[in-house]
Amino acid sequence: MSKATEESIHEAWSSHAYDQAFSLMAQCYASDFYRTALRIVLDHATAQDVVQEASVKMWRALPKFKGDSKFSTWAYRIVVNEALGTLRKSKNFHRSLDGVDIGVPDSPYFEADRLLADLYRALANLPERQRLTFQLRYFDAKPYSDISEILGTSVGGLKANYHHAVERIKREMRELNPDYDFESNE
Amino acid sequence: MNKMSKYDGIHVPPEAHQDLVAHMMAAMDISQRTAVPSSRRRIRTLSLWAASVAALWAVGIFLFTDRPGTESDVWVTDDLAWEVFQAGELELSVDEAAALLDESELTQILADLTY
Repeated sequence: MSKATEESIHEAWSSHAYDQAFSLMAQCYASDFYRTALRIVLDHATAQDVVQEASVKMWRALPKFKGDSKFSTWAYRIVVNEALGTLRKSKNFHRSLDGVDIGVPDSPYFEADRLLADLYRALANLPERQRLTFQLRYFDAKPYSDISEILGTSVGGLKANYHHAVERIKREMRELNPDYDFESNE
Repeated sequence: MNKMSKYDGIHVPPEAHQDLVAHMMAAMDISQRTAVPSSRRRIRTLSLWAASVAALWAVGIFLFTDRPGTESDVWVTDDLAWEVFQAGELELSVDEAAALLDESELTQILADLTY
């Protein structure tokens, strides 16, 4: 999203045009919210529900937004929290399903080669914080300062999380396929 | 780490993006509709106040009406008074209201009713 668009959301919000601010935010970020939600809950319909529930919370919280961070960062935080809450409620259900490829998103919009699918499988074995940090940093290329606001963790802690996540992913992926050779590409 | 695309494999086509936007806007609409507007809150507060007045009035009637042969106590609950009020079976004339309320309360309720 361009800076100008982030500014236009802020402009609408600061003139109390909350409908317009929300509409602009939806136009800009709906797909990103879905992607973030899907990577956490791993199910298309659930991810859609997460976006919708998060939207209700965003709309209600919009007038109370302090304006001290980017809208995208503030909204991502709401989506991530909503997705994590949904995941915790449904985790046992998902785990008990037979034939589910644990860790790989189940969505008509998801397509992966073997390497990417294995990366998702490896991610599924990571602790929650490490997984989220890796996803936001690696897939979304978000700066640590934004991830820090989204996850409510210090930048130092995030860097350590990311480092541990990368090391753990290498190990997990080698277990999935010993042919993966990370050292030569580093 | 191995060189791989940072693409996360999730591609939302434009029409699906618009569906998601529509979902978000629908969520906002539902949220707006379910929120209680301040005017409705005011009417609800007023109604509760009027129901309390009605309950007091009904209790007064029961307490001060001669009822030969009635020995048992009669209780008028807030709920019953509210039901009577909602059913529209309770009407107060200005004189009756004036008898129940002092001048400032009467002025207030008239102001609220014409709000």
